[in-house]
Amino acid sequence: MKADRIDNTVYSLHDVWFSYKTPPVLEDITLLIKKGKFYGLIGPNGSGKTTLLDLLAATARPEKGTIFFKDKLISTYQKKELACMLALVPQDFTLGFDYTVFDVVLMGRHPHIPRFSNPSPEDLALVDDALEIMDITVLRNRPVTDLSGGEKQRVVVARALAQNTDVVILDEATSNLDIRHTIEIMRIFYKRVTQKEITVIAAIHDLNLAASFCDELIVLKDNKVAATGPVVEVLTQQLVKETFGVDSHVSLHPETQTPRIEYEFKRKLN
Amino acid sequence: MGFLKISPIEVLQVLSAKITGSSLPASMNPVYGLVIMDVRLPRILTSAIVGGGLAVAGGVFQAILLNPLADPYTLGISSGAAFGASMVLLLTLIGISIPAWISVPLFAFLGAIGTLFAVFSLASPNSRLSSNTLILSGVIVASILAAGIGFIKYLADEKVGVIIFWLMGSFVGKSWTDVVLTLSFTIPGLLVILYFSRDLNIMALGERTAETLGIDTVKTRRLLLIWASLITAICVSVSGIIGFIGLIVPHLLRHLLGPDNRILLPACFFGGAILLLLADTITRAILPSELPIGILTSLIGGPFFCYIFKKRQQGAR
Repeated sequence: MKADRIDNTVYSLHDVWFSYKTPPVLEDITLLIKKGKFYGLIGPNGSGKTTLLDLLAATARPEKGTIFFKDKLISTYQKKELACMLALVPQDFTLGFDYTVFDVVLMGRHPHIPRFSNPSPEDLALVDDALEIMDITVLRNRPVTDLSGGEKQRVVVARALAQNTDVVILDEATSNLDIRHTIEIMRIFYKRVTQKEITVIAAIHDLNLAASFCDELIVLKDNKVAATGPVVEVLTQQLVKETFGVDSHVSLHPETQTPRIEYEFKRKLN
Repeated sequence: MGFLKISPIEVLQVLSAKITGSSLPASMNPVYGLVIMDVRLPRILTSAIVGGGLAVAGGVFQAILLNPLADPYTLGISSGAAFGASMVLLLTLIGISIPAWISVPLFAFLGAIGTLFAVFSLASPNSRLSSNTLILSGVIVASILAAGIGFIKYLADEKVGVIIFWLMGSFVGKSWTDVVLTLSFTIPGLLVILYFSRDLNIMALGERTAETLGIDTVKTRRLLLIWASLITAICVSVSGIIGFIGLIVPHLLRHLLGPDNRILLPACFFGGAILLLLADTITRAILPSELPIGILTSLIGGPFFCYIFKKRQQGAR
């Protein structure tokens, strides 16, 4: 049992608190995140999703409580060491200078390339793969600053793929994309979770998207964990009502047996 | 060229005589040797090193602030250094005198670092540094410092000439001390900056992403800002405020060579050296009376700045 815990636990958070100023943004977060699963992080705006992801990505430190990443406290890792194991895909992306698509995707290999060394053939192969998977090989030599929002976001995802980590954190990574690219990106990570046993933790606004691709959900509300567990168990009419204050109807998809949410839009006035 | 006409051949004769250790040709005016070795050569080398240093500092500021319009001015660093250097004058006025060769660079550095910290603390309540607020704070602090320099100018009535030198920049009367001083700070600075140049590239992706790519952004930023400020301070202490070299050179070279700092920053050093040497030669030899170099660079650099600014506005989506 104990060995199993060490092998399969990617993150273990105990009584984690965080605040920018008072009042706290996160309170008493206790969580277990296991290897090889797709986690969806849902919750209303301002519920602390991005902050939680920052703590998981070690770009912020908790005020109180402990965060274990694999078998060590996350704060005891070197930044570079951590960067070889976990990648972050942010929601938006600005670049000050006109680096090419290739340059930016190659930056994903940064933690793997020693200082003053050139990228190895393996690094270049991973970059080519990532460009291919994201279908942006044709944009390879274009300056990123010239691309459309959707193209840029695919570059960012490609950069994270090239980083080739076994944990990936998506911070609303698809919320600026059209439905086709959204589904494509979610499928790419879903495939990596099932085939390569990587762990994905994704903050997602679209509950149907979360329900279709995630194995487990973490629900944040009022800076606390409101629920965690398998999607089918967590995502209920009652939860949607309590968390988001919205009436809905939840049913199971006949083929995939994943929950489907139909919202009560209340178009009838009165 | 210059006030004293010395032909290129005579210059070469003097240089080769100095290098090989032999004596000057008997036909030559011995003053030429003195003029070339002790007046012109140090001036030429100082202006080249200062140009290189300012351009590298500008390149680093631009890369850190993710803003192609940034240079030692937008952060107020140059004004801080000039203010510090002017303070020396104030100290001599109240009777404290420290040898100028040590006090001026030291106070310039203290002024620059003081400005850096003032700008930092104004920009960031926590340890994170946001680019836009940093520039804004730099502009605010610089305007306060400009008033401060003006105040010292008022107090130091009779020595206005010296203060004008800080404000307008000049390479008149530079000696080998200045060459050694500037070189001994710009070269180590350049090496430190080159060591972190790839990290600087990654930081173009934004702090949060750079952190997850293994870079301690707060630490790297702080270290590079301090080194760039140090280089700026030494340059200002030697030559006064010389504007826009730190802006024009990185900008032009980025167009030619791309944004990769591993190539761009060393190129800035050489580009800045060539450009400022050229500008100094124009003020010294081509114009009828010697113009302060800072005025010339501002006359050329100001409109150039407007042009980039306008282009950026149009290009912004």
